[in-house]
Amino acid sequence: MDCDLYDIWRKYEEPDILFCLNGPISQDLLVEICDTVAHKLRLDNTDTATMIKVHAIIVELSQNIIRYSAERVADPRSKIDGNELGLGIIAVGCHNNRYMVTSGNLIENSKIPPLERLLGKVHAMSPTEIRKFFLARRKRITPNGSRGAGLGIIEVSRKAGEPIVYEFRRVDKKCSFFCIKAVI
Amino acid sequence: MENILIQGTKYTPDIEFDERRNALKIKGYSYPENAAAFYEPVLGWLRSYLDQAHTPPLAIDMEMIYFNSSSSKILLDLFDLLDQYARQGRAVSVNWIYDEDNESAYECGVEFEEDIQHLQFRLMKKT
Repeated sequence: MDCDLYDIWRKYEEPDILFCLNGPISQDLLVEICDTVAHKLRLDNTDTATMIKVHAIIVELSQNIIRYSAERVADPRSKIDGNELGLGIIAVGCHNNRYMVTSGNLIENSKIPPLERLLGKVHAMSPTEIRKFFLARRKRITPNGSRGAGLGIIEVSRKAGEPIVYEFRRVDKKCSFFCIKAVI
Repeated sequence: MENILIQGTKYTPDIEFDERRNALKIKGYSYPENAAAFYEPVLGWLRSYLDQAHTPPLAIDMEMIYFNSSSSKILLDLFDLLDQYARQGRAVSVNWIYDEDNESAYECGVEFEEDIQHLQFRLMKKT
């Protein structure tokens, strides 16, 4: 067996990764991730406001993976037929006393343009503009509309302390790897 | 009418109607995968309660520590519903209870308050 974990471990050392998980993400797992990270942050004496922000960003980015990742598997524990889990990576790190949350997952190339437009728009906004944009969009969504309609992405930008960073890397004709990072 | 009681979990709030005080308490975290499905019984209960002819004033104590963006949408719907009843003259009020250290909870309360016209909505620091 090739022992590739050494390289991954080396990579994690540098940006002080506190937590990283790659694989199918479920709601139950998300709750455990939040617990684990909260425990670690409490040990670091992190203030409540920062803890809530980190928690919020982990939730939005993980639920994005659960709902929208192009890489999916059937949920073996679900009682509802057709329930699926999304695959992706979620990582929490700390650098120069700032926390960061990063997620990555596959996305179909055809779904990139609207997402990229939304991310670009939010990226260029001031915190006040992001707040306004969030409230306006929240009002507009109909109960039967899209499950999130980008509200999650805007929420991540609101909770982050600086503009979010994102990237799309082409994997093949069908998919790209979508990576997003928020610094709190 | 039947009382509502939903036991909280790590990602859904405790929801309980206190009959002696005529107060509906919603307290905890809210980040279920499907927030619309989770809150549907609560909205249904509120409609039935407020549709009754003679009911004492209803107070709603909300102490949300954290909620995700899809819960936020449903909570807005919930306040819209209560606002409509208040406009028709039903006595209903909301106490938005927040912890001093939790600035997000306070800000979210302020944002909901901005959208409300008729409903009595109080921001209350937890003592």
